[in-house]
Amino acid sequence: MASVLTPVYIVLTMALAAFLILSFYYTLTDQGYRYNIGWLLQDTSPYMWANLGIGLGISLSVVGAAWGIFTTGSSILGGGVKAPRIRTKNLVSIIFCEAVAIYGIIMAIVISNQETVFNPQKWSEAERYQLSSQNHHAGYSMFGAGLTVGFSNLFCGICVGIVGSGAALADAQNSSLFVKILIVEIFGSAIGLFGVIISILQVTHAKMGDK
Amino acid sequence: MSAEASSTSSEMRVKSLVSTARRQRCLLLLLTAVLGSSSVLASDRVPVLVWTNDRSVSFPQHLAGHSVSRHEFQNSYVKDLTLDNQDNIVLFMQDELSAKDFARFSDAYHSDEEKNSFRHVKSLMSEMTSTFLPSVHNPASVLMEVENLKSRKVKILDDPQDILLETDDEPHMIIVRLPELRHHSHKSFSHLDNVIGVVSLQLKALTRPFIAFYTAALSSKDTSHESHRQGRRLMEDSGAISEIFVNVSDTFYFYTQNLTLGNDSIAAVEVDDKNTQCNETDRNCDIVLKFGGIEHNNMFDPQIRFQFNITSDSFWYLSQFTLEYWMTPSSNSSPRVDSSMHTVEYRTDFVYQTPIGFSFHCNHLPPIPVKNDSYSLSFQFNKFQIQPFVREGYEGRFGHYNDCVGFFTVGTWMFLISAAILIAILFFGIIMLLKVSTQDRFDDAKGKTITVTSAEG
Repeated sequence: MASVLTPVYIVLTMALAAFLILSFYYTLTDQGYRYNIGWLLQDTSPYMWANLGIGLGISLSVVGAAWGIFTTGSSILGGGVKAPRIRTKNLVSIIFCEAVAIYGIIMAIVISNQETVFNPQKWSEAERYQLSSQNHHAGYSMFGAGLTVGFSNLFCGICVGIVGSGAALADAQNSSLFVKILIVEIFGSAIGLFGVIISILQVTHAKMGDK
Repeated sequence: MSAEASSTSSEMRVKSLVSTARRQRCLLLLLTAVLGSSSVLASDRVPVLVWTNDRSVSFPQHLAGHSVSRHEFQNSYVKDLTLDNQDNIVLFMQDELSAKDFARFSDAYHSDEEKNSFRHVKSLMSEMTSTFLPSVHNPASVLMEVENLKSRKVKILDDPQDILLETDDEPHMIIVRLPELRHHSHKSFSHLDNVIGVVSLQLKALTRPFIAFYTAALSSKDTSHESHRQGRRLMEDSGAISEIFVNVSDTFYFYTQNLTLGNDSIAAVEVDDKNTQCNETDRNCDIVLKFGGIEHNNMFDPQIRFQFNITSDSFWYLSQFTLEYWMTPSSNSSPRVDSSMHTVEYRTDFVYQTPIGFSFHCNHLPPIPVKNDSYSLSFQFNKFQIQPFVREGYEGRFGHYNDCVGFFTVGTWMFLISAAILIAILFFGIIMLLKVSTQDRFDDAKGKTITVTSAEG
């Protein structure tokens, strides 16, 4: 392998080639009208989007937390060899990273509570349009909420981890530095909280079901 | 007097011999026709088992998986065997047989009748020179028509208890018609096997050696593995199909199968020429189709009305789909009042907007309900293809189809989206794993190497 990204390039090129071939086929056989993103968004099941949101929400949060903990943890372990006094104090950084994972799981539970079964065959003609649009809205809201909390927690976790690592090593050198760096970590942790707040706002209006 | 009598009696004997030969020839031809026609119709491949107690006969090598064509069977197997041969040729004919039957119902390890339905056949094949051809094309017709066999005397045996042959002075061709196979089970095959066993006992008792062929006219259709295939199908065929095709002066084409309204099936429709017109310049297509057969619902002279319009960007769409009928029967004496006509409007969104010059096609349409849903009768089309505004120069066939199911269905897209996310995650993971390496920041090539003393023992 020339570079580690070579398989990525190969897959992307193949996907692009497939897309181009299909586009040319549809255009040249006068079937361009079949390219319809609206149909795609309307007919795909809201369940898929909702569950993708829930899954990505929790898993991306956990990735952020894990990344942060691994960054901070290795620094604490390394610094603690020569300066054992830093070990207990710097666990606060680990707790900040873990909080990010907890945000993720709380939001996943909140979002999944909104997801209920709906059956289009039970709907009457009069309410069909309203119920259908409501369920689609719910599906997309949950997808968005999950992505919101997932990505903001991902970057929050990475951020807190790197700052915490710096805090541990600075603390090992000079113990008065720790409190100052902790303030930076608190700012970093706040951005995860922003993600949670917006995610809750997105998901409270989501209503799935037959009513 | 006696000389005359004897001459007439000898004449009569000759005549009777000739007539028997002719009768046998006729019977042979009839059998060939019946079996040959059935095998031609089916053009199936049937297995053939051959065994013989003639030591001088040897069979050519059979390649596994090779399907023996009629020509090859005739030249390599039948002609060679019967060239200078004076053996009796026995043909056990079954109505249907397949290689799977042997696999399922014969068992090499058990000799009891319950598990092994082909005991006699198996023992005959193992004690004599034999060969098994799992797939031969029309062997029965070959065996009937080969010249050398035609010259032999034919004996047709339906009941195995009959005496096989009265005399053994010349080689015969014996055709044993095995009983019909009602269903594929151990018992039915055991019964056939017993017949073969009984006949073979008699054959072995004769001094003349024999060659036996066991085959069938048709290959048995095994329907036990048929399952309901779900998902996409290219071709679908089930039961009686009543097709309806409408052509309104080459401007409107409509095809459907098994059209039903509620519980009644509509076998044929008739175009009402007075009320039907289809014109692209008018941007309007109004089709009225009359049908019959549902008077019991108090619906007399029912008719379907399709109305198509054209959008501003040259797409045609179904704007109205109604069922019209009268509540009273019409007669010449009391003409019908138009006000007693009932109109039922059905939903029109099952036909997608299609460009002009294209047709709309759908194989599985759901039942089409009434618009305000207060009626119970709904239309059910089995297959559906419709095209108004057929363009000049493109008559005679439907335009390119705008199918209700595209190449990428919704399910396909949903899978692709989910799979793309998962595969992206997988790629991220693999790439990160590949980046894991030992830290070489503090390596110093010129510095002291670390030595670790290891304790001995």
